Amino acid sequence: MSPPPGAAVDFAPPVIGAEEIAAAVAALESGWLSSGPRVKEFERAFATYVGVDHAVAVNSCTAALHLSLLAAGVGPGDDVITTPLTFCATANTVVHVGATPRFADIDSTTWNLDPAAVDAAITGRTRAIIPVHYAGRPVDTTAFAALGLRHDARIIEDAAHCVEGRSAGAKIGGTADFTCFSFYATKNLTTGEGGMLTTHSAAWADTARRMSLHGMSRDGWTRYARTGTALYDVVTPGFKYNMPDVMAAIGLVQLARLDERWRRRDAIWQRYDEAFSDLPLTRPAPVAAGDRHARHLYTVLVEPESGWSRDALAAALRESGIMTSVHFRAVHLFTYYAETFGFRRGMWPVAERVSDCTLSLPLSAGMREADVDAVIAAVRRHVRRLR
Amino acid sequence: MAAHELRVLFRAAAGPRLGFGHLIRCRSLARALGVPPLVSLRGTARTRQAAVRLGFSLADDGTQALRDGGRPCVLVIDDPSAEHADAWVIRARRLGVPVATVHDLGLGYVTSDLGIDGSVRPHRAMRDRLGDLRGPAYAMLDPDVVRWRERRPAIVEPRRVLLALGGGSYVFALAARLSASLAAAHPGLRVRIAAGFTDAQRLPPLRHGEWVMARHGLGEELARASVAVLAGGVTAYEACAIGTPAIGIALTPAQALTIRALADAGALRDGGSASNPRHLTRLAPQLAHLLHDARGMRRLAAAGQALVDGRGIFRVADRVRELARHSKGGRHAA
Repeated sequence: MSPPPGAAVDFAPPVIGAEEIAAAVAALESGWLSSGPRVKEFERAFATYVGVDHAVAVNSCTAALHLSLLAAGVGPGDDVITTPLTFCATANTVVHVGATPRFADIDSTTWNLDPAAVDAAITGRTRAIIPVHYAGRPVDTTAFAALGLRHDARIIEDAAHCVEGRSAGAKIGGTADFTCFSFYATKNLTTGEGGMLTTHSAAWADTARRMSLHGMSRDGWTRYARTGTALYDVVTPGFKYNMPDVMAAIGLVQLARLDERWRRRDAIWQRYDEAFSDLPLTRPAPVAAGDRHARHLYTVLVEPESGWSRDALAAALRESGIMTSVHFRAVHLFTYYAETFGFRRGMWPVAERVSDCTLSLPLSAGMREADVDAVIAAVRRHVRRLR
Repeated sequence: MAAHELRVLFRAAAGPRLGFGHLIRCRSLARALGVPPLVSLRGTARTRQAAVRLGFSLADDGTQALRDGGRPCVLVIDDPSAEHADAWVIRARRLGVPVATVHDLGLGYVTSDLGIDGSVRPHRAMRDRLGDLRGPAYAMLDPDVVRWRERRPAIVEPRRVLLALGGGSYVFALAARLSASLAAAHPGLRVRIAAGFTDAQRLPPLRHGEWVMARHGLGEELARASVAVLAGGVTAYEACAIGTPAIGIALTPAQALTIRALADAGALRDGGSASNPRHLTRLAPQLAHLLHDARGMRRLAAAGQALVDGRGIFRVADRVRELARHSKGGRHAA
């Protein structure tokens, strides 16, 4: 994430201010460093924010996805359908539980997984569907819920980008069987590394919580707190996915200021939209009525008609001190997936086009107006140069 | 910039007549920044003693503190006198030290690198200056206020009243009189009276109520009180942030402005002026009315919390840190 020497604008500088620092110091001074009271408080506050019954804090969104698949009973012999336009962790976790990842193409306007394409791809082996709220744009949660009911498939939403999102007025996090959030360093809510799993099911939450800590029947807080007991049982061989209190302390502050920072990113988004309206770049589509975009990534498509390739424009912007990123290279084109499952170019053409052309511009609540000005000026200067 | 690399010098005015609000604000900012509270004081010898009791280290009260090895990354001035503040701004600029100035209601406004006015009515000139921090989102309160705001629902006690009017012998006599009239009108009421920053030995005995010595802030007292009676200083904003329904009674014309503005926003009840005997007489029945009006208390609390979220001190700290970073040529300088 560090820019090269001379860079003016980072891609997504995290907003860690005095309040987060004070909260982390207080957690360190408390003497309780692993999962403890702050994690419990963070889980409660997050569940309240999302409007869901259960939230399980973990150390990454990848862990949340893995635990969701396990709690949903997905395993060898099962298929899981997701979008090719996602971070590799979405598909990797399907492989980790022994199931087979299948893909369906994305919608050419929203760049989200297309429910109709998923419907066409469902087979008797389909056990779960993982829609991804790409860049912060909510998927059509109602359509996916209907698909899940009709085909007896679990819906596991990958909301790594979408902590503030709403779909048809409902907050993301309470609309699926499981929802998985990321608190990675570049995310709208960051704890450095971290994630959260939300669900309305107490049984699934219990399973996920137990599996997040070696499969033990008691966590550290209940074993070592003054009222606790050191005895525990191992009921299943779990993983080491628990979130430490220091991260939860940072998360609590970030959560309290989430909407304030969303407003700042939304303002930057509006400035970009206006500034690039006359350029030959495909900008993000407007948001559907009743939805709220989480404003996580401002991605444009740099198509050949612009006179640029995506990678050439990214390099030119980098020379100008503007850091960009690519979200994402289509997963089915990666070596492992192509070789293991026989996926090849041409299978999901819309996702491949976006994969080839997408470029994410700097977007963070930590950006100053001068940073936004610099991004706009550099993009306009370069794109217009070749017109 | 890490906290250990950040050296901040505060320049504050304080004293029995002026109050200690400016000094307390500086201490809050030092805590939020994680830096040692180092202050150059405008005040008397007694003020200096009070500052040391509050945990401050004292710097030279001339401008030597801006020079040489002790040169700060940022100078923060909290002084209601424009004349005194401006003199320090000029000296700091000559030495290349960036300056943040803290104001209330725009009083004593001077231009600086970063103007901060967290009051409900900031100076009109600040609205035109890019980068100034204006309004209650930047109210500089004790960093612990956020914690007490969250804890209040679990710890608030019925029929517990906090009187927090500041310090000084006149105020103590007034508080004693008010507590007596409240106790007479409402037997069973628990009245707690904040003693400001006075020595416990100097406090007069009370026939009703109890003194509260709260050198580390009134957050817990406010969170536990069902209602508070306050002057219009920093404590009024803290009551709003924590969600404590309050009646404001002004001891100075500036406090009257604040109380009126907070009352206009529905965040406080206006109790008038302490210099008006009629206002003082009606305070006990006004308080009784509020204590029996659960809906009214909820509305005051909600409006106060909506107006002041208690996180202003951290927003200000982030901007002060940014000011220091950019003055040193940080990587974001564009």
